[in-house]
Formats: sequence, structure tokens, C-alpha cells
Amino acid sequence: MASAAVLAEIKQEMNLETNEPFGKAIWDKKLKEGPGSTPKTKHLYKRCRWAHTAGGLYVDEEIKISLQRARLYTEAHKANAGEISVIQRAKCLEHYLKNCDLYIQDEEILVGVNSARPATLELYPEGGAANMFDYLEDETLCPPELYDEGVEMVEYWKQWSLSAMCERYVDPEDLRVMSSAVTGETPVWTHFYTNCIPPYQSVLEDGLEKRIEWCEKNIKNAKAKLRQYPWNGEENFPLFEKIDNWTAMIISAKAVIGWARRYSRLARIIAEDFDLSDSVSGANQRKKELLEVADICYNVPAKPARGLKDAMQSKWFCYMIVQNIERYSSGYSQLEDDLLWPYYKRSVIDKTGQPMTRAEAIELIECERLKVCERTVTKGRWMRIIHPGINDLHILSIGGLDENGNDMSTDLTDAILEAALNIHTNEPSIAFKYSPKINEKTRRLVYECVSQGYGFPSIKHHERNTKHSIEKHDWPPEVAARWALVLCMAPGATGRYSTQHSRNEGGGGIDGPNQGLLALWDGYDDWFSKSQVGVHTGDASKFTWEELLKAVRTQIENSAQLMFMNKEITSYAEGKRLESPFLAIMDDWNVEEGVGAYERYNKPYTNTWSSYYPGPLAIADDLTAIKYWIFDKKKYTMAQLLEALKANWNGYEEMRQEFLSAPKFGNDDDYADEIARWVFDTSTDVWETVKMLGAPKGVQHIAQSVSAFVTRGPMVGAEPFGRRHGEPTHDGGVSPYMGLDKKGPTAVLKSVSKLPHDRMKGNQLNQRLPVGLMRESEKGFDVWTAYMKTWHDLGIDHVQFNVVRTEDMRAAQKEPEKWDHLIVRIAGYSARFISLSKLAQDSIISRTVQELG
Amino acid sequence: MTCKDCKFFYPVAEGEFDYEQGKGDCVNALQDSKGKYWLVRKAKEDAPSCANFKPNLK
Ligand code: SF4
Repeated sequence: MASAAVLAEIKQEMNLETNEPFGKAIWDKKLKEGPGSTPKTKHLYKRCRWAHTAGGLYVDEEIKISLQRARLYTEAHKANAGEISVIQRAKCLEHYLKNCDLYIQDEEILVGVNSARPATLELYPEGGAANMFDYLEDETLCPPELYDEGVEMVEYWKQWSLSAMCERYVDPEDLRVMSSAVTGETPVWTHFYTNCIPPYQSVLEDGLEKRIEWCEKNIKNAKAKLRQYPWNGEENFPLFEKIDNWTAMIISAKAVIGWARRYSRLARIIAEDFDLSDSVSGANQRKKELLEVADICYNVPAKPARGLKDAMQSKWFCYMIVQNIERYSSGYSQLEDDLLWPYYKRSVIDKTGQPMTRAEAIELIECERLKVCERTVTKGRWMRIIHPGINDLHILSIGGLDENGNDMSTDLTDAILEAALNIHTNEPSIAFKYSPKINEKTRRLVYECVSQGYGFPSIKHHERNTKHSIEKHDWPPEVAARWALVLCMAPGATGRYSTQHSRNEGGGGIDGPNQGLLALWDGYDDWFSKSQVGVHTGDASKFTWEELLKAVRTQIENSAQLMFMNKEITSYAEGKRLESPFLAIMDDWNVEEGVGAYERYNKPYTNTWSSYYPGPLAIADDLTAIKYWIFDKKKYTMAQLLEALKANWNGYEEMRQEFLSAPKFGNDDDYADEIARWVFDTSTDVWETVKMLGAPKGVQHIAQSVSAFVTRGPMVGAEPFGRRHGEPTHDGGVSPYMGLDKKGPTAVLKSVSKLPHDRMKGNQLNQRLPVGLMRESEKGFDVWTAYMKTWHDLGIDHVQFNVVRTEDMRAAQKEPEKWDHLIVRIAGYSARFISLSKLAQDSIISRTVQELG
Repeated sequence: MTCKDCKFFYPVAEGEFDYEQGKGDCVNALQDSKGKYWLVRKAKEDAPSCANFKPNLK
């Protein structure tokens, strides 16, 4: 029985006096009063500049591009022509931070932006022409007066861009295939999308001034070494490059300190010289807040954080630089409760530095969540399309156990969850590192967030993921225990040392369903690109079962090979052309060794992984249906199947129904589950065979979908398990196909548990649970806890839940203006339901509601 | 009148990271459909004043 004392404590902290089920009381309160725990966050929520996209378009029509960053970067690049690339990059950052416009919005207590004005998008011409033209040629985004200047910039960067460099190493035929989008994600350098984990801890603990001193000392020592007699070329030659790297780090860090102090100056000017009488906090209080902001921005990130306010601001400044200004990078990756706990303790519990109340800390966390929702993100259309309903993949992690198995959750973990309950934003999503050893209060708050229908926290198996990182990445136990998700599903090391810096190390993926289909069509794609995108594996109408499996494996190998080759090419090129010296100075390993942020030779904690997205279960259900009806029952031939698929099942409805009725994954049926196991094992074998730089045990493998299961529907032809061309593909990485899991939640868990979780880095499982039980019943927490115990005992990697009523979603489809607050889980992230395409909405509605208890 | 004579012009002290001779900060309160914000832009001391100009009485 759930402890009444725990619930009473939460109710008291959240000022909720009610005898109703807690979830329902929170839901009703929010509908009545609106989100936000204080007048400030209520105001900020109401005026939030949501910056999400839908169908690849920005929902807020006021969002426009700015060329300020592109202009200042281009100026500095030209002015430093001929300079060593890493120093040139540092000087571009410095020039931008000195001259860019800055702004502070009303009521903000956390400041720092990445664009010249609110609701503007800055561009990255150094990425390449495709992404620039994507924005310049979109009349809804590009003010006409900017077009010609933008085109001129593209012309200039043609010879210097990441894409120009990468194209040198790729055969044109391979480039055509990779750009087709059929075999998998198009190259990073066409959609300019990457991801990283900034090692925030170093800056919060040391401050940048100390790190600059460290670089200066390294340069001094290196120069002294050069003067040592007798000359030793072997040892001395590498020092030249190191000196360049340290020099670039120093330029960048000094520029970031100066930029933060520009905010300090601005906050002081607003406080002292402008009318603040319309502030919701009152003029005097607002003046006090702004003067405090001025003090904080003067202190950090130059110096160590004195308390929670400094720590949050320092983290935000670093985030803005690393993932928005120095270059664009997706994610909001951090183990937030672990990272901020020392500062929270100092401010909220011990009151020894920047003292504040718990409620003030929660208000600050709510402000951070809103700030994330306002982040304007410039990324290729490909990525905007597969991220409907959000700005970006913002996912932070909390919870988990330390290397000795102790609960790492703290009062800050609970405060983060309470802030999420208060402010009701879909971003940033939260990943919870689950273990039954974690205290009940924290688990209860996790449950309450889930019951609100946020779809987060998504739940990852703490012990399984930690073990995988120790065994497959060779991370020491204390590092492995402190993982945070890089994006939706992949753990990465956090801390000060050797974190993941680029998508080319970990990220990207190939398409699951198409690997099976290419095997049926001799590598030809007749549905989207109308071209040969796979290898020739022969006429499938004549295949035996064994030959079919072999053809599938060959297609997987070929698509994976293109992906891995492209990742390494891009990694090499970003080191040469697109270094990020500020990211480098944040990482102890880079400073110690004098290497660039994208260096991967001898990197201590590598994180080489990539995905299937959408997941490969489609291959499994396709193969199962083929085996069942063609090779076992012998009712149909391969030639008949190919005819039916070619016709998109039109005219073959009876046959389609039979193929739909074949055994399916997700029903605890060994017939289907063993084939799924073969698909996952085969794929993992392929991934492990690949030896990317710094990955002697092979690349680690993840099955997930983002929202590609809907958006890629038109790129995936008719499938043997009964799906027609254009319809959504398999959702998640290991989720049964919508509506085809008919035997209840335990059968789903049992099927999923038969997959090789121990060999894989992640497997995304989406489940849908009833609102009545989860939000409106007193027994929901106990029933859910029992479900989670089964899930945990079975060693399953991941699970996340939609708790939303079909009738509410149908009502939202009819009257979207009334359902602004409805949030649903898509994949590794949650989105506002009304921002999704009709097809995506329908696919959520079609997910089976699992009855528990 | 030039920016230097304007109430919204703030010189940048020598030694500051973004100090540049002849330039300073122009700080304005702006409002759009979502809310209010305070913007700082670089301005040249001798640039002709703009429509927002207010005399500096400090
Ligand atoms: S640009 Fe206009 S508002 Fe700004 S300082 Fe010059 S005159 Fe004043």
C-alpha cells in the first residue's frame, strides 16, 4: 500500500488541500488556475513564445530568420582568413559575442539568448548550402530584404563549409543513396543536426577564469618543453597543435565571460534607468531581481557558482554557447539533479550561499522549463519534420543509483518533478533512471507526472543501462552510474571529463522497415525515391526462407556501412573545419590533452552508438507473416505476395487480412518473438562488427522511432504484415504495432523481454494506460508500481506511457483551440497534441490502452 | 544630434570585453505582441540620431 504520509507530504509542499485523488486534483487545479506556481511563472507561461514546429513549419507565424550570427561569423571568418582553423573558429565566436544584440525579457530571472530578437532564428552558414537555402527560400521565414545577403553568404561559405568538405570523400552514387532518405537519416552535413553532452560540472565548479589559467599554464609548459635541450621531435611536434587548441580555448572562454558581463551591464541599466512599474512583481521587487541578475551574470561563468542561482545561470549560458551559438546542437542533456545538488543544498537546505526557499527554487526551475520552450532552433527540414510538436529534443535526466547502489535522488529531484507538475510544459522532457531502490516519494512524483499525461518521465532501467556502459563502453563504475540520456534513448557519460560532443560519435540511424522491403525488391525503392538504393540481393519471388533472411542481413549491412562511413567522414571534417573551442575548454580531457572538442583518438569514455529509427520490428512482423503464410502454411507464394505488395494490397483485401492475422510480436507468442529476436540479434551483430574510431567492442545499437514512424510512412512501401504504403510504421523501437498487441500488458512485457536487451544500448517501448486508473483512482500508484516491478525484473530497457483519453483526443481534433493543454507522448519526447498532424494524432489514438490490475 | 547625445546611449568603459573606440550600447525598451523586452545594440557615438532619440539630461 502506498504510504499516506508520502502523499500528504507532497500535497503539503504543493499547497493542495483535497481528498480527491492527487492526479485529478492537480489536473483540475491547473484547468482552473492555469499553470505556474507563482505570479511570475503564471505570467511567463501566458506570454511564452512557444517555438515548436509542426509538419516542418514553425507554428508561431511571427518567427522569422535573422542573419546576425551568419553575418558576424562571415565577417570574422574573412578577417581571419588563413588563420589556423580552430583559432579562426574562436575568433568568429569572439566577434559574435562582442557585437551581437542582446535582450532581457520582462520578469526573467534566468537570462541569455541565442538570437538578435525574440522569435528569431539565427543561421549557420558554415554547415552548408542546403540548410541555408531551406530557410532563405521559405517566404514565411525569410524577410525579403535578407534574401540576397543570405545567398551571398552561401556563395562565400561554399568552399569552407562542412558539407563541401564531406562531399570530397563520398562517391556521388553513395551520396545519392544517402540523400534519398530511404535507407536512413540523411547526412548530418545536409540537415546540420548534431547533439552533445556539455560537461557543465567543470564550469560550475571551477569557473572559466580558472580554466583559462589552466590553458595558459599548459601553453607555458609546452613552450618550456620546446626549449629543452636536446630537441625531441617525437614529443615536441604534437605540441604545436596543442598550443593552437589551448589558445583557441582561451579566446573563446574570455569571450564568453565578456558576453555574460554584457548581460550584467544590461540588467543593471534596466534596473536603474527604466520604468518597471508594470512588473507583476512590483517595481521595487523587479529592480531588486534585476540587480541580482546583474550580480550573477558578472560572477558566472567566470567564477565558480556560489549557489543555485549562479549554477542555473552558468549552466544556461554554457548551453546557449555550446548548443546554439558556437554551433547548433540538439538536446538538453544533463543529469540535472546530480549536477545541481551541491548548489541546491547550499542555497535551499544549508542557506550558506545565495540562500532561497524551496518554493523559490521551484519557481526558478519552472522559469528554466519555459526558457527551453522559447528556444528558437534552426535545423534542417528533415529534422523539423520528424520532431513535430516540439522545438527540439530537449531531454534531461534525473534519479538513478550511485556506483554502490545508493539512491541518488534528493530533494532537488523532487523539486524538479514538482516544477514539472506546476508548469505543465511538454519541454524539456524528463528521463527517470528507475530502480525499485529509489525512495517512494520520488517514485510517487514520477508517477504523478505520468498520470498527468505528460508522457514523461520516460523510464530507463538504471541498473541495466549502467551495466551496459561498463561492459560495452568500458566506463568505470562511478562514471557509468552517472549517465544521462544524450537525446531520447542513449545514455552518455556526464561530469567533467570526456563527455560525448558530437552526433558523429553517437547518434543517427538507419530506417528499420525499409531494410526488409529492400530485400524483397532487390534493393530497389519503388515507393519514394524510385531508384536503386540498396544492394542487389536477387529476385525475392524465388527465395527460400534462408535466402530471404540472408538478403535482409545484406541490406542491413549495406545501409549501416553507408551510415558509419558517413559518420566518420563528418567527424573528421568537423575536427578540421568546425571545431568548438568553448566546448573543448569545458571538458577536462580536452584541456589536459590540448585536443579539439571533436577529437576521438584515445578518448577515454567514448560513446559510439547509432539507431534504427523507425525501429526494426517491422522487419520482424513482415518476416513472421511471410514465414507463416508462405513457408509454413504454404497458402501463398512469394510471387503472389510481391504482386499484392506492388498493388499496395489493393484488390487483395482478403489476403491482407490473413497476413494481418498472422502471429505478431507483442502477444507473448514465440513464433513471432523468435523472429524478432533474430532481427535484433542480427542487427546487433552488424553494429558490433563495425569498429568506429575508439569503439573496439563495436558500435552500440538502439531501436527507437522518434516520430519517424509517422513522418516516414510515405517513404516506406506496403509491408507483408498488412500495412499499406503511407500508413504509420511500427511505433517506438520495441513497441508492438498499434492495435496488434491483443493479449494485455504482461504479454507485451514478456515479448519485449525476449529481445537481447543486454546486448543493446536502448529499446524504446511505448505503452498507453487508462486515465481512470492513473489519474482518477486511489489505487493507481500501487498498480503501476507492481507493473514497474515486473518490467524491472524482466530487465527491459525502457518504457514510457501515454495517459490520455480517446474522447479527449477526438474532442481536441474537433476544437483544437480548447485543448491547448493536452500533451501526449510521441516517442522520446512529448508534444502538444494539437500541434501534431492528423495522421500522428490518429496513430496515438490507435495505440492499445492496456488495462492494468 | 548624434547617438552620443541620446538618453539611451551608454558608453562602454575602456577595458571592457566589447570596448571599441567610438562605439557604445544603445538600450531600448521594446514591446511586441507577446510582451516587453529590453534590447541592447551596438551604436556609433557619431551616428545620426534615430526616431527613438531622447535627449540625455543626466
Ligand atoms: S540609435 Fe537612436 S535610440 Fe539608440 S542611442 Fe542612437 S539615437 Fe538613441
